[in-house]
Amino acid sequence: MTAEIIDGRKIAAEVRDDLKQRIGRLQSKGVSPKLATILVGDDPASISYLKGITRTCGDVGVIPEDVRLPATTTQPDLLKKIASLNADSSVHGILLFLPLPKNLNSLEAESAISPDKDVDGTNPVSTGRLILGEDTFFPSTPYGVQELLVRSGNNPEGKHVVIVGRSNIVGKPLTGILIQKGKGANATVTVCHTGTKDLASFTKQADILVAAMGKAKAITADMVGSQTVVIDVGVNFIPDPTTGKNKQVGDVDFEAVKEIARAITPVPGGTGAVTSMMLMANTVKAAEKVNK
Amino acid sequence: MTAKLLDGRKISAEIREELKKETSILASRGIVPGLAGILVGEDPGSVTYVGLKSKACEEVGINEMMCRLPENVTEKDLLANIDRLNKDKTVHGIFIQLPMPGHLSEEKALAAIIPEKDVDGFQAINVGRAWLGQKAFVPAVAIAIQEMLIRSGYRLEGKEVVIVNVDNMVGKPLASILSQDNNKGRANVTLCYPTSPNLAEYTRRADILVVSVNNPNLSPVT
Repeated sequence: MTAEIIDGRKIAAEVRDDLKQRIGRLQSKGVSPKLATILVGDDPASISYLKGITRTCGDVGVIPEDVRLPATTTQPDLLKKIASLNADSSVHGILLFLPLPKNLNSLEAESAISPDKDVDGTNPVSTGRLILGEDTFFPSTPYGVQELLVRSGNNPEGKHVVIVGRSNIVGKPLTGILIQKGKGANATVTVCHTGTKDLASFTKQADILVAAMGKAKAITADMVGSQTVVIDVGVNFIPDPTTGKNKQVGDVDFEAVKEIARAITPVPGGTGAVTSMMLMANTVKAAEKVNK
Repeated sequence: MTAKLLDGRKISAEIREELKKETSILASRGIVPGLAGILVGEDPGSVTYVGLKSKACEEVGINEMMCRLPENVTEKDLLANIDRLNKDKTVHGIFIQLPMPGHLSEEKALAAIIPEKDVDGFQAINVGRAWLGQKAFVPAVAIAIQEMLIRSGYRLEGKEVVIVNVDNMVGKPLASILSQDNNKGRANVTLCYPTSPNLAEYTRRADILVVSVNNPNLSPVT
């Protein structure tokens, strides 16, 4: 049977409509949520991500502040910029694009972002709060995965979630989010990775399978069960033989897996569509917290 | 077949000898590691734990500095004491013996310790750093389990570790250190609640099973 296709764009639109209402309430108090992005240098992937964020800001009604620093920026200058955004009460969220140029210390820079404005949840303090189950900002990609599951009727509570990939931006925080005692969580979680022997034996057991290893079409049809909900977080570009251009594919072999699994997210149009919306949700939450 | 018993006392003795060497190297440079504990009131369980920690300090050459405060100490006085220990250069680690009397906020007290002295690794910044694979203090129970396994000859790489416990002291920190990409990690970790549906399906599959549910009658695992 062909799997149900989970429409990330539709879910992102639902989240957007909720956010618009919340922004309307903030505006009636004279507050406009503002997201500052810091781009050092001109990494092409970051520029493309920035474009997406700016567009989403426009859709929702969050004000973007586009901070660009030259690739020659020194660490003290970067920290100074972060400090000035931390101190600026009109800015509610701060996002620092990674990777930074090699001469800069990312960890120190991420740690300098105030946890109250760390809407991408990359400061270790935010990570710690997430793990401990305290109020914080979830990194937008794993937050989007949770939102997508809940809104598509695949609540992870009591389910076995198998996550393939242990990165600091997806696998680890998603584990932290889904093991909490709480709504939309309370799952049994297994984290697999490149060191896992016989990966298929794990993925086949999953009620919910999250592919986040960063390897094109690595999850194949023989690795999923007929009751599995497959969430594809991968973003890979491979040459398309029919057009000769590069095309975007996920970590899942979509065409084959959709014939087996119960439900599946496409790439593009799946998790990616929800990710940037969750960044907006965090920015709105940050603005609400300081304007109660 | 009867299982091999992992001898915690023997492993503890090994670690003790290693630490003695380290403290003697520090001593030759005029440094004595100092551990300060804060004990509020006289909860019998806490008094016992603190006694064990004192004994361990003495055995390895750590200067133990207990700060005993009366049951009715105010939050202000408690925080002032933490602040004093934060600033004391002879104190390298601080722990707070929990639970504390109900009128005191454990969260506030724990957060008042500077991260560089948070040797219990309970603070958000240490939890976050550990989870992200950075240098951090990790709660002692989690490191103890990792050390016991490795020193008993069980490499974790590629092993399926099932942890039945999802709390902040055991399950979460243990998962964080065992799933890191380093020589003491690279395990496949599953975190289960004691109430997870089909718990036995997970536990039967485990190469290494860690159980911490404080219930001797948890349904038997075969």
